[in-house]
Amino acid sequence: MIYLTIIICSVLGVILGMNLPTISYSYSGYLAIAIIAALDSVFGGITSVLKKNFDIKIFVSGFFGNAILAMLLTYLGEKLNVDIYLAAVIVFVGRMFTNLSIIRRYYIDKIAKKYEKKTKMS
Amino acid sequence: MKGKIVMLVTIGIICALLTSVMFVQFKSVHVIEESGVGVMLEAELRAEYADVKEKSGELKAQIEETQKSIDEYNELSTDDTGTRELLRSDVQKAEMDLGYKSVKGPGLIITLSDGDNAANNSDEVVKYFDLLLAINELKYAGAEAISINDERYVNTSYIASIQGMYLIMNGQRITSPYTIKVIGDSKYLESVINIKGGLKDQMKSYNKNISYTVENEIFINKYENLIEINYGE
Repeated sequence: MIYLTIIICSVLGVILGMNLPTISYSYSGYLAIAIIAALDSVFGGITSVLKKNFDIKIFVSGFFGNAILAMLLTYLGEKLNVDIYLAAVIVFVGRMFTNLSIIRRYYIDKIAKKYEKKTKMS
Repeated sequence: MKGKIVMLVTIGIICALLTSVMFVQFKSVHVIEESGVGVMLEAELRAEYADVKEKSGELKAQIEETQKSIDEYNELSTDDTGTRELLRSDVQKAEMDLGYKSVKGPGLIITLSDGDNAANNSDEVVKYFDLLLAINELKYAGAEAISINDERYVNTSYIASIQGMYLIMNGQRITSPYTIKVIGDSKYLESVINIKGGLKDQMKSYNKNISYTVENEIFINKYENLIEINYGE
């Protein structure tokens, strides 16, 4: 059920995104950093599902909050002439890697256990 | 159960949002790369530089011209009658430009009036922006003198809506029907009214009435008020 929702909504999003107008160059930087922040939230959400402490409220607030905060920081950085967005990228991408490695470990453990069971049974 | 549906909907919305934003970004980046903004920035600067250069050339020519006329004045200052003649023609031209002189010539008399159902539908009332649009379009077509209900339109003229109830122009209240007299090339003026999406279409789309006649000689009164300049030097 949940996977179906995700797939259908993603496809809808792709179609919608294809048909939306392009944005101007000066704003695409903000959108990029927002996307990175959102992706980080999504991977964080997946990790928390695996750890069985997923909370939709925290997920949604993090999704929007991080994206907006990242955009604001980018804006501030532009005003201060400091590339603050680099810090945001490093933090978000770093967390993404951590979360990805947790997900990877989880599935490797699972597959390894299955394999062990099979070999034991036979 | 309800909590589950809320969760599904939320996750669905977030998925759709994320993917749509991502694809917008992909598309934007693609377009930007294709158009080459990095290169364009330099090109833009170049274009601007050329523009400024051209403008400076123009200004130089203008300075030369002004210098020439100063020389002319200086030359003529020895000859008194010549100066007077020159000054008079300059003053006349300035008065014409400012609207301090009544003018006559070929042009159009345009009548704008509220729609037949204006009493019930405020959309059909001629608004100040309709008149401003008309003036702008006519100026675009090279109008030399414009008056609305015999109120001369000059460079300090305004058309204001007072609490949406009535219009004032040059401090005078004007009411429908609005008779716009305009002097200029009738052919151009006519075409700018009739052009697709032009004044006529705009008026008709709100059921407002517009009609015009081409005249060989129109008389437009001079501007009666004083143009005061207090702040500019």
